[in-house]
Amino acid sequence: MNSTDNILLEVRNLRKYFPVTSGIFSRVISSVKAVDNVSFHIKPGETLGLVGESGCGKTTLSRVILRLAEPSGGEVYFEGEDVFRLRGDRLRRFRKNVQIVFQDPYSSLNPRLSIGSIIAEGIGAHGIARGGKKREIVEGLLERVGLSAGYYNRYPHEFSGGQRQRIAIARALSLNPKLIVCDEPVSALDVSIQAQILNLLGELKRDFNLSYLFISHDLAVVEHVSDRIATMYMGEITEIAGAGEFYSRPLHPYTIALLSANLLPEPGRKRRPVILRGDVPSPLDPPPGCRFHTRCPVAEDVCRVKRPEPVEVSGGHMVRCHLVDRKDPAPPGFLADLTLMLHKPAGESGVKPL
Amino acid sequence: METLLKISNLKVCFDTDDGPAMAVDGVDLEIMKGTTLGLVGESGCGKSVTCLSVLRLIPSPPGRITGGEILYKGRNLLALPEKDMERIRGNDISMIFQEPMTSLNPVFTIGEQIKEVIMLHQHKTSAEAGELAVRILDKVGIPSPAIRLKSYPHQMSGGMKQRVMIAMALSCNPEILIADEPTTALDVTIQAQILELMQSLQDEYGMSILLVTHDLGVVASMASHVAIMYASSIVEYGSVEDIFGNPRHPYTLGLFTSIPVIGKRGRALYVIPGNVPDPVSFPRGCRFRPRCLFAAEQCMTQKPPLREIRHGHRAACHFSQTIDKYVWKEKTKTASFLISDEQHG
Ligand SMILES: Nc1ncnc2c1ncn2[C@@H]1O[C@H](COP(=O)(O)OP(=O)(O)OP(=O)(O)O)[C@@H](O)[C@H]1O
Ligand SMILES: Nc1ncnc2c1ncn2[C@@H]1O[C@H](COP(=O)(O)OP(=O)(O)O)[C@@H](O)[C@H]1O
Ligand code: SF4
Ligand code: SF4
Ligand SMILES: [Mg+2]
Ligand SMILES: [Mg+2]
Repeated sequence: MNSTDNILLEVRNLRKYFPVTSGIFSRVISSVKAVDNVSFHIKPGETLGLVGESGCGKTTLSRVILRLAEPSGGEVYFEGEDVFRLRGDRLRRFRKNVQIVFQDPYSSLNPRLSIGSIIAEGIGAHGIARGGKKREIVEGLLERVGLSAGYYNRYPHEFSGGQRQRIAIARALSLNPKLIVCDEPVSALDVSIQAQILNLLGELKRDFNLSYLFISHDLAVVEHVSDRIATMYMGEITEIAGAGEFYSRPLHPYTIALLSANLLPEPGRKRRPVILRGDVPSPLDPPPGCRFHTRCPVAEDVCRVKRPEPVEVSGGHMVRCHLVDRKDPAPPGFLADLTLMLHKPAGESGVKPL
Repeated sequence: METLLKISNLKVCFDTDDGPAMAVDGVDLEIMKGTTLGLVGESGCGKSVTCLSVLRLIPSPPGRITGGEILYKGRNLLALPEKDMERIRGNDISMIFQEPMTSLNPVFTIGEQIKEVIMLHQHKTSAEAGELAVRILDKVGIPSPAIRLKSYPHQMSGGMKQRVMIAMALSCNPEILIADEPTTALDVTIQAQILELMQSLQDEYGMSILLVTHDLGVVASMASHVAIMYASSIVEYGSVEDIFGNPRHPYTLGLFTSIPVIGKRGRALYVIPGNVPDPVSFPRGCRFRPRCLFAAEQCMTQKPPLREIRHGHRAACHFSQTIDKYVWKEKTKTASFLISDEQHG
């Protein structure tokens, strides 16, 4: 295997298929390809953002990586070790090094435990500390995420959504992990609370050289926190690029569609044309060829029959589209002009925002 | 511009275990004919209660409209007999909700549900209502509408259900559409479709829209006027250009600088310290005071009224004449971007 020196997490051709059964004998009649040949990597201290519409496979992908669900195929390496083969102590170490923060701060904390016990659970289980020392660590964590150490004996229901998300973050931090998977960590929060959590995650990343796999459907949030961004559609990664490039030089039609549907808080800017018609097709009956062809505004005949392969167009910029040329990469068709328009400042009459 | 709906000093109170909660406290709003008013605010600030009051749908008990006036075409809706109000709902003013899933009945087909609404408000036979239903579904962009009429809600995606809700709300050509977070539960690509639909229907029929959202991008692209709501009152109101280009209330300024914006990576997000206050025990004086960078002596005792700063632009802050985006930038340069929500001291 290639050099993994500066790679923290490497995902290769990962698949997760859910069987679809029918009838009294539960015969398997087909499968939902929730994650289909996904490959990417994350470096130490790096944030990879993952965006895509509801149901595209983001949560399933993170569950398989965390070994909360069995893969159907493919490999995951963490610090060079094959995650699906880990047993015993090595598995315990992996479970300590990789933590998760969920979207719903209401259901992810056990309502019967005090927040002190919730945060201390892992510390005890991994034998990191006990007794007074353990309590000291937990109090330090509470303060680190901006809560009072005096909250130790309180219960989750006494806290607001943003505070509960801090508790979940403190719990994730308690084992001194290297990677935190954040599955829509701010989607349930109001914008002012969202800002608190995003700033907190940013600080923790700097202080502890953390890596994040940051899942969200909000492009602005993802762009704000990520070093690199991946888009996902019907179980496949469609594009990966550095955050700056993702925004300034997107290539895949789906990325461009998402960017153009993101509304900027700038009145006077002409509303962009809606470029995606219809819904995501049923995952039970995915389209042949390019999965995106039923909604793609520039699809050609080849897209309806042949599945595009991922192509690296420049260092670290991967695109999966027949119409993006490897040697002279540009968005296909009219999307090239639209992409230029995305970044034009609001017109003369437009309002200059803060 | 002609004012179609004028809300003055609206007050709504809910009885709770902890005492009376003023969910709406002295709200003033105007909706102009053929335009969209964006109502923006964080959760719990009273947006939905304001909307429900216009249709007099506040659940009672525990809720009560305790004061104010809602003038629609010269008549005060709050003083109308229930019989007249029923005619207004659906015919003149209709509403769509955030959760299309919960507002459609799971045991009836969508065709049955749309027909019922049509027959309730218009003198139509079942067959006529069926034909109209097909035409409306087609209008809101549902493919093969005649077949779709036979579907149950669970057989449709979130975006399709929201289209059905819009179809039902529009079946009687209302003058005002109240849309309470109509796209919050949807993906951005579907949101774009729904907003485009609402815009094209407005262009065609000239209806007015009260659009409730917490998404500043949605407001900027849809509204001609914007009201910012905080702690049960309107704190700033103006044209969309005024509010986005020249915000004058510290809460509005805080809100605008706390959201990530594409293309401005790396900018630290301003964090409004503290939390939204509880409506059973609002702070005295200005309700934003415990979280405000500009709070002064006066703010402790006097609640600032919503006052005109310039023509048509109003703000509820004692110092709005002097606070603007330049002052804000200067002030937040030195303000620490608190991650803590503890109130020290
Ligand atoms: N346990 C399961 N059994 C069968 N299908 C499943 C299961 N879990 C997920 N799926 C399917 O896998 C696909 C991906 O789901 P997943 O929850 O990963 O999406 P997501 O991208 O996280 O969506 P969201 O943005 O709504 O959270 C969907 O089609 C979903 O219905
Ligand atoms: N049925 C109800 N019973 C008691 N309190 C309510 C009820 N509906 C709303 N409230 C309270 O009124 C306030 C405003 O709520 P709402 O208008 O729903 O806020 P939002 O701005 O999020 O739409 C909140 O404090 C809420 O808890
Ligand atoms: S391969 Fe074809 S259908 Fe797929 S994104 Fe590219 S142009 Fe569109
Ligand atoms: S009145 Fe005082 S406390 Fe209220 S917003 Fe203005 S400056 Fe801040
Ligand atoms: Mg998910
Ligand atoms: Mg609401």
